[in-house]
Amino acid sequence: MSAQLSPRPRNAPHATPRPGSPNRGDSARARLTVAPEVARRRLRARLLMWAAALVTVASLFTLVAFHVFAAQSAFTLERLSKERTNEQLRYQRLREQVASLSSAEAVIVAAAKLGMVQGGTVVSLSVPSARPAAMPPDKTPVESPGSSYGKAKSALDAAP
Amino acid sequence: MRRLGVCSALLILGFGALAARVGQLQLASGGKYKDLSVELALHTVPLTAQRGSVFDRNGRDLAMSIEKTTVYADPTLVTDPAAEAARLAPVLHADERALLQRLSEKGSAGSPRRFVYLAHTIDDGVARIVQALKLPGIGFVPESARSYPAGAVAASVIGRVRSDGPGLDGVERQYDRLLAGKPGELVVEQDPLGHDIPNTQRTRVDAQRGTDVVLTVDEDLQWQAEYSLLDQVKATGAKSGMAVVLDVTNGDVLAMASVRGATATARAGVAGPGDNNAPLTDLFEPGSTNKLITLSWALEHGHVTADTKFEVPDSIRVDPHVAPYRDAEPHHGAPDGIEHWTTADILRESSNVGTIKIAQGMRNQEVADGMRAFGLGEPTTIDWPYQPAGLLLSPSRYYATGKYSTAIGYGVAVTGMQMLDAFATIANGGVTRPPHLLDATIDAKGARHSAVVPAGTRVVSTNTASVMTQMLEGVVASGTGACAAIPSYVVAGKTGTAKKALATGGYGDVATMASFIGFAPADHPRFATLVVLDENNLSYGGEVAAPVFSEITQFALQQYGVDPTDLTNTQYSAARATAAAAGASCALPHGSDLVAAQARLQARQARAQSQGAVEALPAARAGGVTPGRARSTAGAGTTADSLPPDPSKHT
Repeated sequence: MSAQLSPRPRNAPHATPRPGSPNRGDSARARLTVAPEVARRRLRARLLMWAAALVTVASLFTLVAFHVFAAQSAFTLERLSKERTNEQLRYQRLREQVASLSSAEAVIVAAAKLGMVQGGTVVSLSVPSARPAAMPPDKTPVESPGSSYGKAKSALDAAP
Repeated sequence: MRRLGVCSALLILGFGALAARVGQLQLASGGKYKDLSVELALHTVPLTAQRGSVFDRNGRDLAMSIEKTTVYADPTLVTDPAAEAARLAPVLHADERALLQRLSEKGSAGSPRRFVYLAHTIDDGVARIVQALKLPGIGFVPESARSYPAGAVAASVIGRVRSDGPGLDGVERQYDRLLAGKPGELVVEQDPLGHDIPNTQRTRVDAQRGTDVVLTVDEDLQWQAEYSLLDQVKATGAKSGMAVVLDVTNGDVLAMASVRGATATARAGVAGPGDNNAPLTDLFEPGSTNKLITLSWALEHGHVTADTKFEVPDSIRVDPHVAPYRDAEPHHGAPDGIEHWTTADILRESSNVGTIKIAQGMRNQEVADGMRAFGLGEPTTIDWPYQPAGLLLSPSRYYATGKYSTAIGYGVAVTGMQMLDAFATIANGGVTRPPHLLDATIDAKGARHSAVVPAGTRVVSTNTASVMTQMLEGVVASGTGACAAIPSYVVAGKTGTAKKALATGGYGDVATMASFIGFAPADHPRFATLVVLDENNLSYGGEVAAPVFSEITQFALQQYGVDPTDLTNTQYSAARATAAAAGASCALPHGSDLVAAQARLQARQARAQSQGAVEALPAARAGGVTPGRARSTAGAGTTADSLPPDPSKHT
């Protein structure tokens, strides 16, 4: 901002200092400025008002948008939570179904339905000349039931 | 001006009174009304913890929990209890009056009743119907329901749970604290009609799921044990039966079966949840299987060797005031009725007299110590609710006969597991192999924690165990346990046929506990198996229990891929010859054979009834005891036991 010094009027009478008032010198007079023109001032005020309005509207819009987004996310979260619960329930029921169908009892019932019958007495044949053959050790890696269970279990969270 | 002043004063007074009242409500009674408001609006719903699963050793589900819907009511919100009960009763399949009573339980003004269960763990379809009714005051909570996907398999081992959670029997009870988990709760704010108010106070403390329990039981082997035992119980008309398979290498209990026989009102069947798990709870006198302990202890302490010879008559009197002890049959084959048997022969022939002669060389305390050393008189290492310790006579109370009765397995009460434990000790080279049923636990994060298995202690030397094993092989090859033989494997075992004590004192003529306990392969033992049949109509352990042992153990050997140890079938051929000479088929009837066996049994029972006689003992048996001999033994009023000895008599 450039402050212009106003020229002193040539024929202006010397002002008589009032008693008790500070004696202002030239330096005090030098700080006096000329107000901008009315049109410029109005423009500035208008701009400020618009800016404030814009910021307010933008803030409000952001707030509303955030609220909507949060609400939508809450719904999504709830939906996912429900889905998770349902899937866990489905998993439990399927597991029960698998266990039931693969149980020895169920297999026997299924076999009977297919017309299979229990075999009679097993007759063993003896071969007098037979000698136990040296059998190579079984090197097939055996995975214990519990080894992979931990991984599966943690993936399934609280499901057993 | 005056009027204005009066109005102002009135207004000030009015507002002042209101302010005073507000102050009183807020400051003086605020806490009380706040509590009242919270009590009316907040509603606490208990959340049951999901119970842990029970797995078999291969990770197959034996018991599991599934979340189902439970219906509850808040009686203070129920507007018309009678109408709601009438609508709910047919859907929930519940008694209308009982429902009405629950819906009307509003409690007192001071403590209103806000929660009553109407139906636990209903099916999803039923839940949907109830929800569609939209009845005021009716709510729904998820609740765990127990499911047993393996059906009746191992039911008496697993046990059952009460509808509201706690385990009642078996594993469900024993490991209840592990399985139960920790319950949670849901606090919701509701309107006066019982509807949840959205976006209000809602606190949820999640329930903590219970720990999973992994048993050592093998579902397939368990089923086989139950199946074989049940068919034999049916075929012999036995009152009940039990079977256990133990892995000798680690003490794992692989199968533990209990079967109840047919009664006038119920068919024979596998013991259900809530029934006794017989091998761990039922006490019986072991009879001749107890000779294993007597002879092992005598061998261990140098009283005998396997080859020590004894003169064995068919009866022996240990006290002039007591009836003599007898063998199961007279020694007709020997001149003057006295056999010259070695210790091994005595075991093979299961001679009571021979065993008593051996016991005569032992002190009372020694016999008692032997029983204790093999684990009799104290519960086994298996965790089980109310497992009995069994009964042992104190040596100070042996008097004239206690030592001898104990030596041959009378005057002693044991559980099946205790006897199997004793055989497992011999199979394990003289060191105990503490049995256990819990393999591991799995926490909620999936971490597996193996169960602590107690270490074994030495009871007899390796040499004694080895000698005993050889002697037990002889029992199967050419003795009373011929029907226990398994093709391609060498089996060691012992028969037992203990007469049952009568409530009135003494022993009955017919009712017996027939048993066979053994292990295979004898040279590298892997499985020890026990089979006991209570009050069967064929009587002898070698005849009825040994075939069941053979079938179950053979299944186990094949299932676990145990290498054959006797490809030439030396023992099996000898045992078959022994059984054939006795006229025993050793077959375990299944299917149509079972139907025929049951028909034969019924005909025999009808014939015996028509003759007005007590059920006669069988003529044809692996042991070769004739009814006449058996009656003569019983007539002595003493302990008589065992299958017959001499293979030459098995004709």
